[in-house]
Amino acid sequence: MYKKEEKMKHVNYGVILLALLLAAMAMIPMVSAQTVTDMSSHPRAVDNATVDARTPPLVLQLRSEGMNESEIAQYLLNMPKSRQPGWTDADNERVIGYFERQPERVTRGMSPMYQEVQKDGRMAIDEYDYHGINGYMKPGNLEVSDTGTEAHYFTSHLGNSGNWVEVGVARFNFSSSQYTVYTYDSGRPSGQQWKTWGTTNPNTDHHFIIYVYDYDGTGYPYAIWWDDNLIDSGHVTHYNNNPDENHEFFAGPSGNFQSCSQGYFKETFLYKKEGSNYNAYWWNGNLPETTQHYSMSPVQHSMTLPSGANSYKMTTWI
Amino acid sequence: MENPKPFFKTGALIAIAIIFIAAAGCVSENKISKNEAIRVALTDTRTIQAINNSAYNVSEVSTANLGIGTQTQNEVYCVSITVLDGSNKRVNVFVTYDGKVALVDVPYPVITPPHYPGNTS
Repeated sequence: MYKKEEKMKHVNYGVILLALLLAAMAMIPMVSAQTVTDMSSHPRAVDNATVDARTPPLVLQLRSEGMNESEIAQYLLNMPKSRQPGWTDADNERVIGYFERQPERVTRGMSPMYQEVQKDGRMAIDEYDYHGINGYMKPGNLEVSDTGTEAHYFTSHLGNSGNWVEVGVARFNFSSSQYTVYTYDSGRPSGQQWKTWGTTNPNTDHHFIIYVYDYDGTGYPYAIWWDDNLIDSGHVTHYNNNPDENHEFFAGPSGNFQSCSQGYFKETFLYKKEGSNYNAYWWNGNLPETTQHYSMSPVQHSMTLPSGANSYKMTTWI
Repeated sequence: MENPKPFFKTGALIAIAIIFIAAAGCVSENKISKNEAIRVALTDTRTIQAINNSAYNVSEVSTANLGIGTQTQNEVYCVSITVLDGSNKRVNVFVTYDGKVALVDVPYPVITPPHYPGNTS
């Protein structure tokens, strides 16, 4: 009887110790957060039907009329870009003022150490190989407040050597009910880099495209599309550029950030010209370039290849 | 007479558990300091190239989750450097807790208006 009780006691010790052992083993991988799905079985090229389905109807129409790439580029450059109905010059100026207040905040708080107010969740390629990006973004609520995050930019860039263009959604605490669709071109004269198009619902998927065309004698024409509306065009300095997908958080005067719901980029493909061929490749681990991704505390991120998806899904939150 | 084996087994299991817990704890005990992370960041050739002989501020040393390619995310130091050449360029240097530079990233800067002091210094 005594031996039986002792045996049971040891069995219980064993179970407890086994649990401790498993917990200790689990702690090691927990140090390094999420893993990224291996996507070696996914093809990297995008088929023509998908590329066409993700090309704005206007471009398809111009092609069907016989225009080549250069002619389409010039058409888009010269085409008037209208803002969202109801979005006035005054709205545009007001929101551009918000954009310009962000660096002022940084400046006021700047001292030699430990005064950074911007945190990013970011995915990028840094090898100067692509002339366009075509994807979807859902910014999410982009929470702002008087005591926490003052501004969010949920944005995709394409650029090279300090010259870039971008398209995204911004929300400011100065005007918290509005989610503004904006573009930026670093090559425009000072004070004219920002443009706003209108407002949007941040909780649905939005289709965005930045596409750079071949050299036209003055530079490389680009076109920026938002939900198949042409919202900006101009010239950039390089044909081959670096793409990224960013969520930029800016703290207010308190220096604090607050919790933020999830936003994501997904189903992105990148345009690459190889010889005389215009190709498109899903942004996943089969690209020859390295994709780097990070989030600066307290921002968190996950970069995964969801089941059935062709490209990375980059999700960010606090 | 009692069989001493169960006690030995229990002791061995306790010892193994202690070793695992201690090993897990060692991951954080080997961290370099923030000042050491700054030194590592500022002496890396990629950082020097990105700063390009301009004045700069080390504006923050924080932590970040870093992943490259299909690798697992790792917690690292992020040394944020602001270049004072008028461009408002930021250089983010990611230093692993054992003192290696894993990535030097120069994200697109936030636009600075003309009156930004960095543009006139």
